[in-house]
Parts: sequence; C-alpha cells; structure tokens
Amino acid sequence: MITNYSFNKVQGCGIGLRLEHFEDINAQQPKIPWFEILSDNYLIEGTAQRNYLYQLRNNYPVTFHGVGLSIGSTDPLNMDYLKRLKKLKHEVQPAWVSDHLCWTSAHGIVTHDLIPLPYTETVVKHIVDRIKQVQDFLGEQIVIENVSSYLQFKSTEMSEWNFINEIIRQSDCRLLLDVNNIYVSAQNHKFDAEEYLFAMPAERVAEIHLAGYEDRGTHLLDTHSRPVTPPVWDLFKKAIQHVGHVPVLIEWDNDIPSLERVIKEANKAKSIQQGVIV
Amino acid sequence: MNLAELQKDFIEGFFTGEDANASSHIISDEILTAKQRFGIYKGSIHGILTQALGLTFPVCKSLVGEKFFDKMCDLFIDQYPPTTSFFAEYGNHFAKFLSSFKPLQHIPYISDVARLEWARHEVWHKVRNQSFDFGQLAELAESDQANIKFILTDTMRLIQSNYRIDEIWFAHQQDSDIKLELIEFDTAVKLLIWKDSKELKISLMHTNKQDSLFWDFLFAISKGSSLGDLAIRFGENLPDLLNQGIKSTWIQSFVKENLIEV
Repeated sequence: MITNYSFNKVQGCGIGLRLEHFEDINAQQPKIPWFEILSDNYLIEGTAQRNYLYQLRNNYPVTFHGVGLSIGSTDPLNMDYLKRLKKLKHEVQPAWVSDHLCWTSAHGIVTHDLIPLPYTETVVKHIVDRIKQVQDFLGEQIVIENVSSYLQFKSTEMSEWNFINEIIRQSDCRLLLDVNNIYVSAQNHKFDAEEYLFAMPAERVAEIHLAGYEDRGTHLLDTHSRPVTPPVWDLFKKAIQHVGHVPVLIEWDNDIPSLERVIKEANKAKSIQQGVIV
Repeated sequence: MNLAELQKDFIEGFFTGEDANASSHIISDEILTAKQRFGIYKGSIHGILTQALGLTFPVCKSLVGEKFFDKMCDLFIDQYPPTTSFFAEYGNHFAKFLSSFKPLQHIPYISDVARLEWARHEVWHKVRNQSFDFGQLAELAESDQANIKFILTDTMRLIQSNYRIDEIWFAHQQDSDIKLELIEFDTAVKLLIWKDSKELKISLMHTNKQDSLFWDFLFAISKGSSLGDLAIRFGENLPDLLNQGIKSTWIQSFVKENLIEV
C-alpha cells in the first residue's frame, strides 16, 4: 500500500499514539496536529495495527519513534529491522524517523529497555559510524533522543551534553530533545539541567518530548505514567527560549488516561509555547 | 573499556543472577551502590517483559495470582530472554515453559490455557487474507491435483486439549456465567480460534460429528496433508469439507510442488 500523502509536515503539539485510544480517535477525529507512532509496533506486515496506521495516516501527519534501532549496540545493525522500517516509512511517509541514543539489544538478546552508554571518544566514533550507515540506508537524516539514566560508567570521559554534541556534529543527524529526560538525569546524577539544556545544538533540534516521571525516593524514574511535573514545565520554557518554535510531543505510556486528558496536556504545552514565543 | 564486553556483562546480569561483572562498570555513590543502580535497569527490563506477558496471558495470570505470575515470569524471562525486537512475537515459549514448570503440576491444564491465549494473541494480530481464485484447481491435471497442499488462513488456529480450556478461559471473562468450580476439567476439546471482521471467537468443534470431522480435516491440512492424502482419509465427505473450508475462508489458497499458485 503506497499513497502519496499531500501532508507530512509536523508542527504544534502532538501526542503519542497508543492502542488504548484507537477507538476514540476513530470516533472523534480529534484536532491533534500530529501523532507520533511507536514504529516498532507496526513493523510486522499484515497486522491489524498496521491497517489501523494506514487509516490514521489518511487524516493525520505522523512521525516515527522507535526503540529497536539499538544504535549503541556492538552487534551488527539489524538489517531485517531496518528494511522493515524503510518499507513502512515509504508507505506511511512520516515527517521523520527517531530513536534513542542508547543500546537496547546486544549479543542477540533484546532488552526492550533503553540502556545508557559510556561517554567516550571510542563510543562516539562507534555511534557516528552506525548513524551514518542508518542514514545512508534510509536515505535521510534520522533524529536521536537523549535518554534518562540511573547509572554512570566508570569509563566515562566526557559530559553527556558533550557526547551528544559530538555525535550530532560528526554524524549530521538531528536531535529529539527530551526535556523530561534531562531533568530526570540531572536529578539522578546531580548535574545542572540548564547547563545541559543550553549546551544542546539548538539548530539541530527537530522535536521536544515531554512526559511524567515517578519519584522513587533514591532516584527519579522516567515512567511516562504521570502528568508533566512543574520543574519540567519550567525547564520546557527555557528549552523553548533556546531552540525556538519546534514541534512538541506528549508521551504517556503507562497508567494511560483518557485521550481527552492527554490532549489537555498537549494543549498546556501549546499554551506555554505560545506564551513564551511572542 | 571494551563496549562489547560491557554489553555482554550487562546482558548476563539482566538475565541471570550474576550481576557482579555488570556492576563493576558502574560508579557507586552515597545514595545507591553500583549493584543497586544496575538493579534499577534489571527490574525495569523484567517489569516491561512481565507486563507484556501479563497482557498476552491474562487467564494464566489470573489462575496463579499476580504475585506468583510475576515471580514465574522472572524465571521465564531468564530462561527465554527476548531475541526479537517485536513485542508481539515474545511469549511463544510460554506454554512450553509452563508444561515443565514443577510448581504448577497441580494445574496440568495451564500450559494448554497458555496455548489458547497465545493462539488468540497471534490471530488478533493478523488481518484476513484477500480472496483467492480456487477456480485454478479445476484447471490442474488430475494427476497434479492429488499433490497440491492447501494453506490455512493466518486468522485461525486449531487447538486440541485433554482439558476443558475453553470453559476455563470463558470463566475468566467479564460477566461470564461459567463458574470455574463447576467445570469438568478433564474433558477433551477440539477448538477453533478465529477472527471475524470485529472480534476473536473460540468455537468448540466436537459437539456434533460434522464439526468434529471438519476440525479433523482442517487439522490434517495444517499438518501438510496433500489433496490425495485428504481424499483417502475423508473419502466421500471430502467435497463437502473442502467446500466448507473454502466458503469459510479458512482455507486460504493452495500450493503445488512448493510453488504458490496465484
């Protein structure tokens, strides 16, 4: 199924598409500027979900957001995964394809979680080489997201923000700036969230992510199960000042509330964005 | 630091009890030790996978209780860590794992319940196939017809069990009037799990002779019987069974000498 969609531009504040909202979206056709789809869930051909995505795409622009790229893995790139991704991209024409700056699989095992990397020159080179391979294969720039972390490696040689900057500069990819992740990691590792934020290459930011975390006492956990917290909204305002008017997305993956509630969170982001940028 | 070795140590730590090597890469501080920080990830991975298994096998979860299910999943996850990037494909070993899981030997039907739930999960993810021109069958030479093999649709599964797993499953559904304690567990069943345009269905296929024969016919096809084999086994019933299979769209197409005839 290949359609030439007349619209694939993404702007404003969108939400992540979740299975729990399929029926409501079909029934209500809400005014959402775009949906971000978890691309890994749609890579098996001939599934009911894939058919749903084709339907949705007739009415909304979409972006792809994945977990399975495992850009930091030392396993060879998963070409089966990439071929499926490229085919889906060709069919659905997302505004862009994003994944995370981390590893999710290694030695043939898939963790389905976002595991951080040591921040070293060697790892920068490893990631840059792989991003270039992926971009060559997909025929376009990809967008990578900074992840939350709960540990730091003894072998780390540089700050996370220097690590990200080097990778983006050398690989010529773009950045999905997750403001919640910056806040969570800053709290967990006692660094200055604003120093990190303002070190990000503003001109390379394609999108901002916002989500809610849980406070586990000893650390903050990036659960995407809550509303965005006040300190993250504050950091978001500073992010808008820094990067300007880029698309913003609300992620809500656990304890998923009604579609209406998620849209309300997106509308709050929109109001803040409009208030900050005059 | 060698990244491949670090990742090997982490994978080992995530899916076994051996996390000393993984923790050796991590900084301890006054708030959390390296082992505790590694444990956040290990707990998160097992939590993600346990949640996925719970969504795929809700009746199994209900039969053993949430706490037991979660602990059992921990063992399953270590024994069968995911090797696929797709959640929809994780859990295909769960029934096999349950069949040899000693603490549940007093619930001998649970692995068959898991097979039923996995079948529902697989069928739910499939879409109905496009129609196929079975008129091509008549165009084949008679000698070739005997060698063809039928292909069943992806939106249907056949399950046989020595236990009344259909009623066990229905007893766990909302508003069900089937009482678990009244089920005659040791009753063999032949089931057909399928999807119409809207929902998943479980059909009991041995309540009458015709249904039972049809189930046997579809099962023989699923095991690779050729049209010639089917003719020998089902004799004069074959035309009706074939007609029923094609009309229901559960027979999707046929292949001749391993080539799909389209």
